[in-house]
Amino acid sequence: MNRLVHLALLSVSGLVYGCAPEASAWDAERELPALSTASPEDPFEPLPERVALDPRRVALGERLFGERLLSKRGDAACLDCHHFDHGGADRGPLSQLPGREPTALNSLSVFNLAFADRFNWNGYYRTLEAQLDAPMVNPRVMGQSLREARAALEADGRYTRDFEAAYSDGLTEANLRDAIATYERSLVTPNAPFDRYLRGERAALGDQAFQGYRLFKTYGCASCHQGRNVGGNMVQKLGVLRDYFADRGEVGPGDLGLAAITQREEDRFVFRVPSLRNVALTAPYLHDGSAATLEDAVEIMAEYQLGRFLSTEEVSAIVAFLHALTGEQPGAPR
Amino acid sequence: MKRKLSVLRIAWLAGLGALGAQWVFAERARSEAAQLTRYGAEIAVAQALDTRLHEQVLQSRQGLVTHYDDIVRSVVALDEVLAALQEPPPGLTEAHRVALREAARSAALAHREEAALVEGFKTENAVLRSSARIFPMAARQLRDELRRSQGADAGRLVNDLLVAVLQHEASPTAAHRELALEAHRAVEEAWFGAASVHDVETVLMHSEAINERVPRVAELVRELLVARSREAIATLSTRTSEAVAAEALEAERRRVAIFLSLAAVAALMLADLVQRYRSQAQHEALVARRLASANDALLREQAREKELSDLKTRFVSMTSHEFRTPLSVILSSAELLEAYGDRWTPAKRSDHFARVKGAVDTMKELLDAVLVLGKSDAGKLEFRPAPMDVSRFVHEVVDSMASTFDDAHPVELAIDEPLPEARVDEKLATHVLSNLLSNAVKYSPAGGPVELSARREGADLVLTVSDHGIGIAECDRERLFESFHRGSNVGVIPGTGLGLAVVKRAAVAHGGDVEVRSTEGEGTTFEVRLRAFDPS
Repeated sequence: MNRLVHLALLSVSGLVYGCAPEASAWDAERELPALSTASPEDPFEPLPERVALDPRRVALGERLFGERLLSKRGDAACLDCHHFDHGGADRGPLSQLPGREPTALNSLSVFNLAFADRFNWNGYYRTLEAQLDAPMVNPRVMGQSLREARAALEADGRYTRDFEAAYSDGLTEANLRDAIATYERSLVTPNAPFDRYLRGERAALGDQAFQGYRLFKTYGCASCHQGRNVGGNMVQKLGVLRDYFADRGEVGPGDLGLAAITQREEDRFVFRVPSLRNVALTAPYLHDGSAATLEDAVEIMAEYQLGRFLSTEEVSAIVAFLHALTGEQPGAPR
Repeated sequence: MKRKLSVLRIAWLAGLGALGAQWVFAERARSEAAQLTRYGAEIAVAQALDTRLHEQVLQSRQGLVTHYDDIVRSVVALDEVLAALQEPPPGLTEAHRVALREAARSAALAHREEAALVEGFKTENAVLRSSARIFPMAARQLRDELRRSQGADAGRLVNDLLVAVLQHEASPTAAHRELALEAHRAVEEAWFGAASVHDVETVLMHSEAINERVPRVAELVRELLVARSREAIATLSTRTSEAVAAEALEAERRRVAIFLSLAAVAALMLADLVQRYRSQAQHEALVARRLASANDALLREQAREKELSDLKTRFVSMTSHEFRTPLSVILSSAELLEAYGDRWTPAKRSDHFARVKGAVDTMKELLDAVLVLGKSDAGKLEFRPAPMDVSRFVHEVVDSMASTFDDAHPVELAIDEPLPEARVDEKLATHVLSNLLSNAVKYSPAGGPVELSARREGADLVLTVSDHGIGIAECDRERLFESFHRGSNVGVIPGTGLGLAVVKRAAVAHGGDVEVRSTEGEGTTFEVRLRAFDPS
């Protein structure tokens, strides 16, 4: 018996050692992020139909989107400035919440942010999670930090269980941030006529819109408004070729752009190039909400960014193209 | 068998322990190498991303691609990869971790600088691209209009500007830039009709944008191409490769140690096994030997037991017969003497007394023989050799038996003179000689001479007794020396059948033996050898 044990021990040890895997060579090269389908002719790519996300976190973010406890006074929710029947943006030039000063900037859309690279009008924030601080601490908006909001939610108790279900460490500031950002990433507006066109359905753009698309590329709009979101991935000075603010007058704190945060002279009047997705729904336009209609916005852009005056036909064509950027709108939070 | 820890066993158990320890170390090195390899794969991804980012920027610079989503994705992905790389695998040794974290941090920092350059490039390049698109279009249109309305001069100026700026934009050298700026100034200073002012302004704006942006974009691209990120990531990769090599070497060393330990343990185990087998075999052999000897002793004991039992049986049968005969003689003589003694003649009375004496002598003889045999059979025959003069001894025995011989049996003595002193148990030797002599007399017809010789043959004292009597039948010789066995031809000659048995025992006790030569009807010779002299 004893020797059997010896032999078994020996052979097993030998075997195990012999079979132990070798340290593998470099793993097969990991796949790099896929390149876009964009070409010099079509410097765009269609939006995907959906984004894969944890449904529990999305649901949690959806509830939080309408949660008034996020504001210090308990009277304002994200929904109050981001209307789902208005392309995810606010209806007025600036946002006005009860008992507060109006915001310095026009409220941007919360749609298709999963594909954006820069956030907020100043383009300073590089992630959705980071930019959440801007509306939170702004006394004209939520007026409290996310930490305070978390404490309010915890005291309220309605969210504790759902957070524990969705996150291993429950209701933390990071998880609160993540839940809201995750929900915002789920807000995609796919299948706009332009997307269908990009997928090969050439008839999806009408004649006028197609003319507008050509002008959009030819006149250089597409130099900045490009990529999946037709904008939203770089910052640019408002008034590259002409001084917009000299003509408009009354430069306020909201006009500083990126310089409001970086305090650098070269960042003055530098703003995020906004996405033009669903732009037909999100009037008024520009950071100050000064362009009431798409036509106004297109003319201002042509003049100050391109140094060009467009004819009425050209503006109409480009506006027709911009209408083709309206996709299927997501349902409002319940 | 009691299990105990032998030195060998302790040795191989210790070896096994060492093997385990080596194994643990080897596994650690192996897992570190594997983790580092995975880490290295991530670095390879970062390198590929960095390379792709540079290619994308160059392509964008050359106007092949006019959108930045891919560049953005590369930057973000590279950012993520480098952030992840700043947390090296947790299983690594601290030295590796620190070195790798340091290298990853500087790679991330370098990438941040690179990302800022990319951002600048995107911003500047977007404006450049849009001006580069609009300017030639607007300039051509303006030139053609001016040529038509105001003559060739203004048109030629704008054309010069168009060519110079396009050249500058296409191949941005200092000379081209100088040329473009000169043309730009010339157009600026020229007078144009009011109708053209706005168009000229547009053309000049874009000309200026291009002239400004081209060197700026070129500078950004140049900075990007020499950005430290590539170098920093390469440093990280080198550090990782070094760490992988170090761990692999360590694993290899441990592997060799494991094989050596394994071999040693195997050898020790084998030796232990062999030793255990051997000691077990030895133990078994010992037990077998002990068992065998115990068995032998038991068998010997059994045989002796049987012999004793046989002896007892024979003794009982003998007493029932041999002792009864003289006793009945004594009894009858005593009764006769009691009843008729006073009436008998003195001659007749003494005859019966003689019978009684004879019977008592017979019984005494019988008892002596039985005593010798009994002691011999019980292994308690006393053997006390002492120096003895053979000649004296022979004469004494013969003299003591003179009455036996009468005159009917002349004894012829032949003693080799001089014999050295012999070491003999005189009592036993007396039994030998007296028995042989009395037999010779008893089984010989009257007048038959008896020859007795004593001589030395090497270490042996040889005593020979010959008669010319009835002899011993061939069939009797086999059992001649057994107790109570008597020859078939003895007839009515009285005897106990013990004499020769006693002779034999006594001879054997002296380390000697008895031989018989006989022819029935002619005579018998007994030759007794006693080891009585020193072999020299």
